[in-house]
This record gives sequence, C-alpha cells and structure tokens, in this order.
Amino acid sequence: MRIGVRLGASGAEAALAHSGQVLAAARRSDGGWRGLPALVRELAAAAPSTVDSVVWSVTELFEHALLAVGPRAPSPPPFTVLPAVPVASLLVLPRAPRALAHPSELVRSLVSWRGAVTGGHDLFGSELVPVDLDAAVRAATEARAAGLGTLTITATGASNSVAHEEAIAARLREEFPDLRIRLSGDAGGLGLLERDATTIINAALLTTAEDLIERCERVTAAVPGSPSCWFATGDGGRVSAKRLRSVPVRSLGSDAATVLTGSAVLTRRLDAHVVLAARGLISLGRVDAGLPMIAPDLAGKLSVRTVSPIPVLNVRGSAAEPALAAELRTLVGPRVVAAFDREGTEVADRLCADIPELVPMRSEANASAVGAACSEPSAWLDIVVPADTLEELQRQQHLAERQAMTLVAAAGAHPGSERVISSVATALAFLGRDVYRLHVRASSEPEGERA
Amino acid sequence: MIRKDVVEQLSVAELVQFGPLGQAKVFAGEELDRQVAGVVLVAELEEIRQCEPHSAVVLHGTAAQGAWALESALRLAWERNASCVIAPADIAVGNPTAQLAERLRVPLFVVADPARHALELSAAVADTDAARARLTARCAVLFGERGTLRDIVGVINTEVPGVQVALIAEDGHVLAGRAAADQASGERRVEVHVPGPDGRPWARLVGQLAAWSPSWSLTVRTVLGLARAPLAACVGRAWLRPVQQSASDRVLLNQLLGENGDAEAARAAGWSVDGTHIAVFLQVREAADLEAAAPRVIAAWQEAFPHLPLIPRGEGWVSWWTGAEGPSALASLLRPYLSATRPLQLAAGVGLAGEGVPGLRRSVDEARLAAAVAGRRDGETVELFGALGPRAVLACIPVSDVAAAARVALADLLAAPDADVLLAALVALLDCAGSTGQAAARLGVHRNTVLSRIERIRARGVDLDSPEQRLALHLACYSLLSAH
Amino acid sequence: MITEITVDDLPALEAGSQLTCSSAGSTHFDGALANIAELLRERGPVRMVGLDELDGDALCVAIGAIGGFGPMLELPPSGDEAVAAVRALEARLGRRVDAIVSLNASGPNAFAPVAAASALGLPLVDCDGMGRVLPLVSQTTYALAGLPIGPLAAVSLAGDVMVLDTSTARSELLLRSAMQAAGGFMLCATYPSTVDELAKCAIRGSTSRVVEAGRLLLGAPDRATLLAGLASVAGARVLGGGRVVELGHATRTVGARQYPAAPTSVVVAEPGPAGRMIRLEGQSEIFLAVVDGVVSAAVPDVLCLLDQREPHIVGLERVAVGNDVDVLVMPADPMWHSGAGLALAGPRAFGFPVEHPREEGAR
Repeated sequence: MRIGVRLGASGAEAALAHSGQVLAAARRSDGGWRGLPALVRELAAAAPSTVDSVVWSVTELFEHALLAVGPRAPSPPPFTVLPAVPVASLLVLPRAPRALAHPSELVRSLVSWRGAVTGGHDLFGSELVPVDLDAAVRAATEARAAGLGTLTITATGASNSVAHEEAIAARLREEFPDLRIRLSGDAGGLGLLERDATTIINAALLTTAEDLIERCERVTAAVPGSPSCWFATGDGGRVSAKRLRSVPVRSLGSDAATVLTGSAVLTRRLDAHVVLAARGLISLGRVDAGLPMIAPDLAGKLSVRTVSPIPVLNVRGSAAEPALAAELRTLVGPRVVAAFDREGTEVADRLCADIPELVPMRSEANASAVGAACSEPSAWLDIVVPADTLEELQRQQHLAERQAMTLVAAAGAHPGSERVISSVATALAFLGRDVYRLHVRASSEPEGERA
Repeated sequence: MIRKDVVEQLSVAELVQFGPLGQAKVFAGEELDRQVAGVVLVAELEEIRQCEPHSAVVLHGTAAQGAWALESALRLAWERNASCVIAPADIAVGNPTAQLAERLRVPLFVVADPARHALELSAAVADTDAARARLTARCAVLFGERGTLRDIVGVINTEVPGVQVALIAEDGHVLAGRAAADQASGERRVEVHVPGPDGRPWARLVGQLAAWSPSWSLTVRTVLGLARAPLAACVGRAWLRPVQQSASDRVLLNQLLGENGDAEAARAAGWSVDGTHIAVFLQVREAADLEAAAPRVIAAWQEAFPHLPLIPRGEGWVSWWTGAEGPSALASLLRPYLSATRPLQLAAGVGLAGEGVPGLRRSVDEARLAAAVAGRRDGETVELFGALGPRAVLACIPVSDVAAAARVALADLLAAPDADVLLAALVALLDCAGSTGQAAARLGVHRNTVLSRIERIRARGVDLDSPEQRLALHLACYSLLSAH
Repeated sequence: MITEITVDDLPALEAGSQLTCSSAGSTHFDGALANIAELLRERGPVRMVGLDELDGDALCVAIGAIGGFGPMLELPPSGDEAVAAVRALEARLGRRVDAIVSLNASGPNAFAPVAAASALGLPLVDCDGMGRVLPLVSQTTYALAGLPIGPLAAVSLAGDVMVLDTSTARSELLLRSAMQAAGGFMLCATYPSTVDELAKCAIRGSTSRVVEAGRLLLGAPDRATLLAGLASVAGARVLGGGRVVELGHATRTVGARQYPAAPTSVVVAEPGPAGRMIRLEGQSEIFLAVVDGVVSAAVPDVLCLLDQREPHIVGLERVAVGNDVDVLVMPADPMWHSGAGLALAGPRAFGFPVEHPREEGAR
C-alpha cells in the first residue's frame, strides 16, 4: 500500500494505490502544511492493509523556491517554502571564459559571486593546466567577504577527473572550515555548464530542501505503521528523503514524470503516447512500460539544462491543436489524453471525438499523485568511457549497468528487484579514439510484479 | 568462385539435414524447399548480381563486413532468386536483419567459417548421391530407435526434408502422419506397400514430395521401403516384441562373439553362455529382402522354439542349443520349422558342438558355412557342418563367377542337347572319385548308362583322365549346378 | 542574401547548423554560443560577403575546428581562439589575411568562423569546403581543386599554438596527433588561398543556407511547412521514418581506422506490417542508408535524423533506441558527385564497398 501526494499551487492531491491499482483519492486546496496530516490519515484509514510508503511530488515547491530569488517571483503556494539561497560559484578552466556568467537566467539569479581560476582536465583525464590553489583561496576570500556561505566548484573535465575540484576543496576546507562546498564531480555527467547548473541548484536549495523534506517526513511519520518517506524524481522514479537532501535537483521534472506515469496507470495503457491538455498548452509525452521517456540536458520548464534527466515533453500552444490531432492520427500504438482544467477538458473532448482510438483519462484521482504512488526507486548514470574494442565497450557497459543497479539498491529498492530499463552507448564523434558516452537507466521492479 | 551445375538438385532443407548446414543458426527457416543448383562464394556484394538463380550464396570478405552488407546481400540474393544466403558468425544478426530475411523469404544461415562451408556445400551439391545415402542411413538408424507407428512415420516427416508422409490403411484410414500426403499425385507421389503380420498387404506408406527429381524420388522410396519392416513390426502385438528385441540382440551377439567376447551382458540377458553349444544358422534363399522377411522368420521361430533367441547376424539369423544331443537331432527339430515359414524358403546350417563362448563362436561360424552350402540346394534344407567336412569350403566359392568361367571353358559340353544329364553324370563321377559303380548308384541308373554318358562327355572334349584338370573340372561342375 | 550576422542570428545559426551535422545533431553548445554572443555584442555584427565581392588576390583562410564535440561541452571555446591561429599563420606567410572562409559550415564549425571574423574584425565569406561534416580536414572541395591545406595553424583550448608546413597528407596525420594530445579539440586556420583560387572550388552560400534552415527549424508553424522549407533550402527529402529499434557500434569497415571517427549503426523501423527497415551506417556521421537491403543514399550526400515530435536533428551522439525519427537525405554539392569527388568522399572512401546510388543510376 502506498500513498502518493502532490504538493503545488492548487493545494494537495493524494492517492492510495497498490500494485498499480488506485484504491482511494483525496484532495485539499487549503490549510497548507497544517492540513496535510488529516489528508494523509484519511487515505491511510481507507487502506485495507498497512501503508508502507508515502511518495511526495514537490517539484512545484522547489521551483517556487528557486524562482523566489529571481526577478519574476511567483505568488506563494499554499505551502510555505524557504526561498533558495544564492551561492558563490567557482569555475576551474585553463582561462576565464569571455562570458563568465552562466547562460541560464535562473542559474545567474542563484549565483551572487562568480569567479574562475586556472586548472582542469581534458576528456581523457589529462591535466590541461596546473590548478591554481592560491587563486582559489583568493576567490573564496572574496566570496566570504560578500557574505556567502556556500561555494560550488565546477572544473572542466571533472566528469573524468575530479582531482582539481578535490584539491581546491581540500585547501579551502583548511582555510574556511565553515564554508559549505559542493563539487560538480559529484553530480557527474558530460558538459561543464550542465554540471555547473546542477551543482549550483543543488547548493542553492540546501536549506529549502532540509526544511521541506523534514515537513514531509513529519507528516509521513504520523501515518500508522510508520511508512517510509520518498520523493518522486524527474526520471519517473523516486529517491529517499536522505538522498534528496543532497540532490534536490532530482526532484525537478517530477511533476511531468508523475503525470505521465499516472495517466498511463489510470488508463491502463503502459506503452502510450500521452497528451496533456491544460489552459493554453498542449504537451505530448511518451510512456514505455509504465515509465516516462526521459533525456538529460533538456531545458524543461525552468529553461535550464542539468545533468538530471527529465521527461521528454513536446510542448505546444493551444493553437497547435489541429496539427496535433493530425499527428495523433498517424501515431502507432495506444494514445491517451489527460486534461487538467476546464479548457483542457474541452481540448480532450474535441480530440477524442475526432480520433476514436484516443483514450481519455477519466478519474477522480490526480494523475500526478497516482504516478508518485506508483513510482519505484531509480537511478541514472551518465558516464564517458574509452573503449578500443567492442568487447571492452561491452565490459564497460556491463560495469555501468551493475553500478546503476547498485545505486537502485542503495536507494532502498527491494533486494533483487533491481533491473536495467535502458542502457545506451553512443560513440563520441571525431575524438580520434573510441570514446563512448554511456547512459544507463535502472529501476526497481514495479510493486505488483514482485512476489 | 565455386560453381557446380548438376541436373539432380538438393533442396536447402536437404543441405541442412545432410550436414553442411546442420550446425548453422538459421533465420527465415520456413522457406527451405528451394532447390540448390550451385554454390557461389561471394567476396564482394556486386558479385551476387552475376549469380545464377537457385544458388546458395556464401558471403565472406567485404560482402560480409557488417549487418548492412548482409542485408544488401539478402536483397541482391532475393533479386537473383537465390536459394539461401550463408553468412559468417562474426556478423551479429539482429532482429531487423532476421525480419528482412523473413520478409524476402530468403533463408539465412550463420556459420563460423563460410569459406569452409562453401567447400562442403559444393561437395554436397556435387555429390547428391552421397548426401542422400547419408540421409537414408540416418533414417534407418532412427527407425530402429522408434517403437510406434507414429514415431516411425514421424521420423520421415521430420528428417526427410520437403516430404510429407502418411501411413494409410488399406481401407483408407490414416494410421499415422499427415493426411495431406495422400492428396499427392503424379510424380510427386511416392507409395510403398507395407506388409501386415501375415505378410499380406496391410497398409500403404504415402509420401508427397515438395520438389521432384528422379533420384530424389528414388531416395524417398528407399527411405519409405526401409520403414516397412519396422512399421510391420509395430502392427501386431505378437510381432512387436521379437522384432524389436532382435535389434538389440544383434548388438549383444556381436559383443559376445567379438574379439573380447563380453559374456556378462549376454548372461544378464538370459542367454545360455556356459556349457556345450550347437549353433544353428538360418538363411533366406533367393536373396529375399531380409528386413521384410525378418518378422515372419522371427515370429515363426518364437512359436517353434519360444525359449531360444533368434538373433540377426550377417545375412541371416543365429540361435543355439546348449546341452543338446547332437547336430543330427537338431536337424530333425529344425525341418518342421523350415516348412512353417513358407512361402519363404529358408536354409539352415548346424555347427559342431563347442564348449563355452569360444566353442560357440566356432560353432556359429560352422553353422553359417553349412547354411551357405544348404542355400545352394533346392527346397528347405538343413546341412550339418560335421557331415560336410571339407566341403564346407565350397560355401566360400564365388559360384556365380566360377560358373561364368565354366560356361566358357565347357562350352562344347553345355551345347549338347542333353547337357543337364551329362553334367549330373560328370559331377557324380567326380564326387565318387571315378567309381562308375558308385556314381551309377548315386544317380539311380545302370552302370552301363553311366559308361555311355562318360563316352559322350569325352566326345565333347572333356579329359576325365588328366589329374591336373580334375580339380578345376570338379569346381566348374559344382559351380554350374549351384548357380542354377 | 544575408549580408551580416548579428547576435540575434545565433539561435538560427545554431539550429540550422544541425541539419548537415548528423553526428552532433541538437547537442547544445550553450557555452560556446554565450561566448560568441558576448563577442558579437562587443564588436558588432559580422559582415558577410560573397566571393565575388572581394578582390581576386585577397587572402582567405578557412576556419574550422577538428576533434570532438564532447571537449566543446566540457570546455566551451571562447570564440577568439582563431586570433592566435591566424596571427601565427600570418607570421609564417608574411602576409595579412583579408577574409575568413568556413572550412565547413556545419555543426559548431558553422559558428566558429563567425566568431573568428568577429574577433579578427574581418569579413566572413559566405562559402565553405564541405557543405557537410566529413572526418578529415583534407576531405574538402578545396583539396579536390588542388589547393594545399597548409601552411596551417592550430590552437588548443589550453592555448597551445602550432604551425604546420608540410604536405596535405602529413598535415592531416600530424594535426590528428596534436588534436588528441590537446584533449580532442583544436581550432584550425587552413587552406590559405586567394579569392581567385577559391572561386573555382568553394561551395557558395553555405552560411546563408544554415541561417535559413535554422529559421525554418525554429519558426515553422508545423511539420509540413518545415519539410517543404527544408526541401527548398537544402533539397531535403524524407527517406522514411519510424522508431529507432537498434543502435550498435559493431560495423568495422575496411581501412576505416584511418578516420578519427567511431562506427555507429542505427536501424529505424517504419511502423506497420509493411514498414521498411532503414539501416543507417556511419562513422560519427551517417554515411549510408540501406532500406530493406537496398543502398538508397550514401555519403557525400547528407543523411540525418529529424525528430518526429520536435523540430530538431537527433545526432548520432544522442540517439537512443525508442526515438521516433524521420530520415532526411540532402544532395551534396555537385562537385562531390564528380568521379574525383566520390573517390575522396564517396562510400568506398569510408570502406563501404558499394557504388553511390548516382553511379549506379548512371550505368
């Protein structure tokens, strides 16, 4: 038995599910945090057996915390959250880039001080220039003087060698014992700016996450049977409260992921193209075997590319409805439409009248809450490896798959339930040697399929 | 490029069954009935454009450098109406490639070493007979291992490519196999009659050929013929056990009588191994179809001597008595049995008594020689090795060859109007070492008659007095009489 | 006719550059573009000219990077790398460079010359030497016409500067080694030539075409408009489309290791029972399209994967099983279809022992 809860601007939506079946649903648009215990207890009371986990989808709250710093702060949701805290950011490169600021407006708003020191490695792990530790100390001194308590360090080549990031961190910890330091190498993934954005968002959300997660944990703890507390992630899976505290960025995109998986569950179409219709927007996503199609480096709702994968959503204005209808007719396989407001329902009705194969999602339950409840522990790995032979590539892929499964197990999956969802090797072009980027997506078996 | 055009063509399925492609991984394996006219070893894709229709296209070199090349080859092979494509195993054949092969209906085989396979395939395609002989042998072995009508017919349906077979009772009822086979007509239909327990026609084994050629039709007929005896053996319960038993007994006997005779297994089978043995060897006259005769011979034997095994060996069957009175007593026991197997004519030989396994081995050899001599006579006959003495040696003479030579050497004698009478007199005289009295007694005529016939024989140029001619003359006459 | 490139043209330049770069596809070079945008904001728009607008003896150099896209993601070029390269080359030649041409206006190499022109304050000539991406710097229409690749200069992202003065073949070899040692990327100034020399071999209008294609990709209201637009701008046609069902790296071609590229095979299955199987073979770039076993398109013609939902190119560096894509094919410049052109960059040059569909059609 699981409870999924989505928290957002419109309040709290919750669903009780078991083995892909929705047993009960509830919602509450007022009361904020104080109203949550009653909502969750109501569902727990409806459960025929013990509730073993509560999964929270809190993307919208984190988004609010991030945007609260910037110039276009949205109106506060019914759930108070602490705003993100701007950080100091240090780049480690052979020379300072012409555009030092991060191209993403959001990331820029989260960075109060930015500097660059020399250092870094190439993609093969060779040092490009020696790291300038003294310059790093000077930079940190400046950042401290500006009153910043958190520093992120992003070095070029940290996906293959974290030596310079770690050397700087070690030196700065000696000089500034109270400075919180976050390294891009911990986020992993290819791309300096993507890793940088990921590290900055994680660092800026530290206090927000601490506060938000603790609130959710308290509500969870009050449910009879002391269920475990989880958070839905952008890859369609979930992570433990402990894990999310250090990587809140993984929560981004979880609203889209849970809506897609929830729609699939509610329409019993686990391999489907899913149309999401709401006021002014129509999106087209895909679910395969109950999991959303995802990719890393997508800009998403916040227009920032991170190394954390989020669902692939083709978002269009409502003017695109006729074109979408034509496209839906040509698609192969099941097609589902889910509406989220009155305008969305009108779009869905028109599309369904037009396309007989289109299955409307009709449920009292909130798709996102259902998707959260039905999510499983997951992991995503994005690494770059050299492999001179096909055998070596296969060996590396196998290792990466083992590693991803271990991550799933470490995330709290039922032992033995870990499985690889997809494992893709793409050849990096024109490097003059065979280097591959490996993407491994792993998850736990869905609840219903386990004995 | 290796190419061999032959009139007689194997099908792709036969190449799979006969060996060259037996171990290959196969895709699009539903289309194996095509004939293979030749084998083409292709190093470059372009070469496929020059292939004759019905070729087996074997890829190597740049024509096999990846899935894309394999798919191109499949396509070109399809355009050239090739029979199949054979690719090296270092190309990983994925779903898309397999699907393309299926859609184009071009069978695809994946083997470790295509060049070697090209040679083997060429050999098979060139020597269709050898390949088919292997198939026949394989079926014969499998028939021996199957015990029911359905299984035996099943052997043909699974092992013989492109052939559907049904066993149909005389009343038209399908006893086993695929009823569709009976719809075949014309040259694509092969049919053999299967005798029942009583030797009378009981059912028909009908085969339908997907592809026809004279020799392929003959091969299938042979295989169907081979199935007759095992099928007949399955029919009646009374027949079933002895015939099946005899197959394993044959092996057991070989072990017992072999170089390092294994007596333990024979003892375990309940055979009498210790003591004094007298062996009996049965042989069918007129070189009848042994397999077909077996059920009748064995069943009759079981009826007459239920406690004694009758074991197939060489051209006949062996059994033996342990602790019997003597060879002559056995001969009188055997005579009624021999007449019970009519219309089949059996000849029997009885060996001397022998002690233990070595004795039995000797006795069996003696009985076989005696049976061979007996087989040269008319009617159901029993020969005792002991009575034959050195005459047993005659059993080993290739009588037909000697007779042929004798017809030349004694042409004048044989040209006489009463040649038969003269020949019989000559043999009697030689048998009786020149004694005209004994010869007359043996022939049942007056001594003067014998003398008169000797004069006529001399007049035909036969010198009865030359010692160095006598042995040759004796052999010649013996062979002429035996070869009749 | 586009006469200048402004900071506002960069998004279109980026989007359009994907079309002829099936390796990188829609990989986002946000860092590099941010630096170039900064440069254009500082220096103003880059003037773009046709070859005919320059003096016949004006000296041009071809700007383009060699190496991978991965290094550009990890260490975005600042845009002014070309200054060091061009200055080093000028010192070697003893002559000032008058204008910048593109080595190949495809992928990131579509905007590298823009940055170079801006940083050097020189005009950019609207032409290139490939019309696509090919693995070797010597696989150009410039080389086809006999122009020597050197003397050339190259700059690494760590700031190393190198000048090479040797034959085209050895330049290629030495440059590759240096590129690897430098971390998989070098910006090069190659083919120093006069306008008269370039006039007979440059592929004209390249950068304009990239911007036009980019505008279509960014702005087409629907897919039909997009495809019609790409047909008119680049002669693009859809070879087929469906779902990616296989992705592998097993195809090794004879002699292919001379290329700094990695083999990749992609199979696109068209939907439905009668759907065809489109197998794409390539080495970093897509070189061959085999449809149900028939070679239907081949290098030097351009093949790429267009996402069926979003108007962007799915590069071989990003493609995954499950992607829904259309396969586009665009004819290469007619110079490439000559016998010499196909010998240099036809399928056989990459170890695929097949005829180019055009050769076959001509038989």
